[in-house]
Amino acid sequence: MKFRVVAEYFDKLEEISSRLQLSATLADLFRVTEKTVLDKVVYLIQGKLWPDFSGLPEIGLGEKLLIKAIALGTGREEKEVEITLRKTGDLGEVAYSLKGEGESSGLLAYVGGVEGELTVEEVHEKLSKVALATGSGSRDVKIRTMAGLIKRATALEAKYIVRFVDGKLRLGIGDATVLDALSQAFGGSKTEVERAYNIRADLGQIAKLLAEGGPEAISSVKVTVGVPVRVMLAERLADTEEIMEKMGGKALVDYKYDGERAQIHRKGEKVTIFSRRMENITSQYPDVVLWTKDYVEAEEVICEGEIVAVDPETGEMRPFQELMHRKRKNDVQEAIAQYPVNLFLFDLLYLNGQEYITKGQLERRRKLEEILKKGQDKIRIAESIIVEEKGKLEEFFFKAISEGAEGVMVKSIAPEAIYQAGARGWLWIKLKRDYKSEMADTVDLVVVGAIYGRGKRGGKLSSLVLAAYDESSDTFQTVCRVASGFSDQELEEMQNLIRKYTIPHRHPRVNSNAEADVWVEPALVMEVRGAELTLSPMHTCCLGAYREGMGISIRFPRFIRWREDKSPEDATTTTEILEMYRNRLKKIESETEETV
Amino acid sequence: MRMKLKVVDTVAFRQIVETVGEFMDEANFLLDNEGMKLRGVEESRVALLDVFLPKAFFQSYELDGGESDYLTLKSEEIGNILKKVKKGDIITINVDEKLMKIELDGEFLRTYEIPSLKSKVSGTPTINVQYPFKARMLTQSFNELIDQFNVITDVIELKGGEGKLTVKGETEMMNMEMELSLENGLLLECEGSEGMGRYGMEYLSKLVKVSNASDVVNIMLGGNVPLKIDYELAGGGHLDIYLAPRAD
Repeated sequence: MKFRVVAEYFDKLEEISSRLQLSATLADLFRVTEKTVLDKVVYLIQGKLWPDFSGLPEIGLGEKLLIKAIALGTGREEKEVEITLRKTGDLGEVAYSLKGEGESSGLLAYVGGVEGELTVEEVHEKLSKVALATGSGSRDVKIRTMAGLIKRATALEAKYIVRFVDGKLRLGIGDATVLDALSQAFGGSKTEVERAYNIRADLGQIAKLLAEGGPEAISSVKVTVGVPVRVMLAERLADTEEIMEKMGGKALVDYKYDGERAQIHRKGEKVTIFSRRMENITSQYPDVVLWTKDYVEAEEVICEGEIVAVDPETGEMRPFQELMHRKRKNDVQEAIAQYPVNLFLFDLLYLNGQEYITKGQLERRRKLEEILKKGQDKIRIAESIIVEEKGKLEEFFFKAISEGAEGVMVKSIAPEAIYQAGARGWLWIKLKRDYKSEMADTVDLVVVGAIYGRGKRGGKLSSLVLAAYDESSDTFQTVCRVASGFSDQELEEMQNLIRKYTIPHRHPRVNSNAEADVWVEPALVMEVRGAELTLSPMHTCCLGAYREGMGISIRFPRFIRWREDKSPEDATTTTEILEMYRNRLKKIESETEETV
Repeated sequence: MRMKLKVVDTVAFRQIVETVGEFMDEANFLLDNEGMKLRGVEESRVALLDVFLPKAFFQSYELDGGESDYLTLKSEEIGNILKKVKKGDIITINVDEKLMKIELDGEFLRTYEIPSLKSKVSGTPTINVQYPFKARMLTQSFNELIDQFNVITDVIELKGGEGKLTVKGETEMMNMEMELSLENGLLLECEGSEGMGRYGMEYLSKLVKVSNASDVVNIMLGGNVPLKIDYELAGGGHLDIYLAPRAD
């Protein structure tokens, strides 16, 4: 099939502003497209060469190299390309105008090549060559291949080839429009086509299947290990009463972890991990791959969970940003050591030849628990409970937050509560922390207890229970546990320091719900910086002052330095903490109002 | 497919293969009774290469049954092997259906084995251009010219006629001009009427590697047509490059 036809349709599509007309024209393009290349045409429309989950690289040609290729392909100087780009702001237009102005006589005229003879296969093959070129000479290969394509293309073809590579196709076509156009072109209800796409997230494949086999072929599409299922999404509500009402009075509640959602596929020894956006992220998590093989007892399985960064010493959850550090590391093994993770599973989509997405929530969860090996702590089932009243839901919510989760996911356990692939619905409702207050300043807190570390810090007191001073009762009320920010040397020195003040029981002036391995006399003051202040049932600081049954705690605290200059009574007071929480909340509210 | 080639002028062979590699990541040489040939347009379609290494270039040149066949060389792969070539080494290339065996024999013998490749060869491009102007010069002089302009400009203008070849380059900051003539001794021969064209330095600068393989080069110009650069090789062979002109 000639690429010219595709380019002409792209040109038409670009001019259309009505959604209906857009899908009708796109359906026309699909009808005239040869079935053998329909998948490639669909990928090109999506701005891709292949589905994201394939794990194959993106085209990887930056603007500078693209300018070079346009210069070569049109026989111009780079300077001229840059000047034209400044005028139009669109490299596709630049290629179009430079090709249109009559280019260099080139070699084509002498060796018998003709413009406009490019086929869809050739364009796809050459662009793939650009994407796949690696090694020392790859820069040159990419530029030359791209220049060759531009040289052989007509002005209009060059415009869209260049835009594609630049990642700015500007057709305004989303997946929904493609699905619509496909069902118009080849029959089959849009719902059926959409269902197929939701469970086999490869639009090119679905298009080809529909074109070649008709609606029957589409209705037989099944969940396949290795091809991602589009993830189920949740609605959001802030009112727990309303949530319980939507759930019909009873629901499963999971911790909503602050990590990366992962859909894990296993077939025998092959494990693939897809992100929420269905990108293949397997290479970033070789540890999770290994654990899946060891601890998920199934030959063929698709399950979902959240990969969460954890503190290697304490096992406590770390914020999402830590995962981002891991992603940025080039050396994966180093990243694994520096930013360890745990996997918290929460759903089962497929198991040993049987689809689970059509089964109820509780059945899926029960089976998931069954296939997870006990006696290990790398892969766990998401912390969860069944609730029947909003009080329990709220209690669990605050417990989740105080342990480093983002909030909770409330899930319907009605029999019809299936896994709705690709849909956002009321079967799942997320309740995220709104009661949070970012911390602008550091605080000075008193050490009242200590906990032994694990792993490298095994046998050492490495996590400290910290408290604020309550002037009215002259007591110390716990506000957080700090385990980060110590250098190795500081940690060593801390051992002796703490032992000097160790007492056999909780100090009478300390008010704590938190447990400790060792209790410490309130004497040592340290400066701490946290990410934010949040309501928590775990800590006694400001207990009941803002909300009944809730204290205030500091999330993700880090040690800054010891404050030998301060006595415990000089530490930050509970009143100050409450003020900080209130002030910051007000600021967040007013910021929200302003943005609204 | 069975062939055996033995090369004594290994440095020249290396430079020829490396120069081809500058333009093509995979080179399909046709081996027939006359010698080893390559003609192909590089990917960006700015340059066409025409290489001929006659039988006489090789110390030994054997084709199984005398039948012609293609030999595909992956430029990066072969380049990495030939990098190790030293003056005085002898290269032997033995190819059968499965393997290409390359031996570098010198101070000590090194043997490399890589799977034989057979790429699809879709037609050989032909080019037919009349050139009114031709200049002959030492490869060394031509290299010097490329060197001089490469640091200044991306594009040069070549103008031939009246017994001289004038080269111009310009940037926003400066203009540069160089004259090669029979008179100043930089041209060995010069004939024909006027020819002119503008060409990209990026491609010309890839040619400097041929210096040890060729002593003499012919430059051919017409009216804004592809520039022909013809390197004369030992034994009557050639390495020709046709370079598309830049647009105005």
